[in-house]
Amino acid sequence: MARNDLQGSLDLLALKTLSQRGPLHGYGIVLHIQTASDELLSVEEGSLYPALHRMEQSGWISSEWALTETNRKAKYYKLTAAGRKELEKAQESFEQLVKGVRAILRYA
Amino acid sequence: MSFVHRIANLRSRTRLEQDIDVELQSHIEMRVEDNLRAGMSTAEARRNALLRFGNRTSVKENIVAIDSALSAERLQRDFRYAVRQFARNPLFAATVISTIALGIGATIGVFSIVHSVLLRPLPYKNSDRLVVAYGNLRKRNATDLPFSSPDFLDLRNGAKSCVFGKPALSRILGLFPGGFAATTSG
Repeated sequence: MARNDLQGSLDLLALKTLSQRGPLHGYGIVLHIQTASDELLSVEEGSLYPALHRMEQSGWISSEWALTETNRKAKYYKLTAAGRKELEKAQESFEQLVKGVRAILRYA
Repeated sequence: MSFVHRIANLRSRTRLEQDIDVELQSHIEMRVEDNLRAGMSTAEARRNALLRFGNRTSVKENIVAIDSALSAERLQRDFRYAVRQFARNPLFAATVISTIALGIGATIGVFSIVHSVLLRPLPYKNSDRLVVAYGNLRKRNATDLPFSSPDFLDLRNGAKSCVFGKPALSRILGLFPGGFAATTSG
């Protein structure tokens, strides 16, 4: 369970999800993050939306209203070219962070 | 005009909030459906969905702030884009700028003429009571003759009771013997 530490990497998780799964609504992104992480990561679901709207305004993702399989109106998000670039950058910097933290934990 | 503007803003703002509401609501409903499918009771399914979602009001306020704050930034971006386009296409820029300049120039020209000729009061005391006087020779059918200063003195001396205002003077027709008449027009 990494609820509190997740906030910073929420952008990264959402961008990665969209790059792997194609257009998705917010709920779909939440489900993917939960199942793909073997339920280890759980987002407070509402907190995803400010992140999505911020990323849309930055031009990393675009949105479109569409119907779900159960005929419900939902806003689908899609990765843009700028978002793809941002994802690469975020992925790289996250790996740097993990490497750094791990190095300190292993320091003897 | 600003009233109309305000109404329009109000509408676009409520539309923005409506969109956010629909988006958040549909998330919660989908979670409820999944919970029901997983075997929860109706009440439990809804309670669980709301709990997982967190503070809906604060989430919504957050999103509204993000969406409206960044529209100002978008305006700035549009402005920069326009400047860039102008720099890239100077001929088009020159056409646009001279068109607007000519339009503004012509408007200012016409308005300053109208202002000084028609709107601005003449620089005399009681300028609203000034009149222009003409002479008429009725028998010879000649109108609009220039009005000489002796004529003016005669007119003033012979009509002491008359007020030198528009309504009085315009009735002095036929005042002079020998067919000479003075007409005035304001």
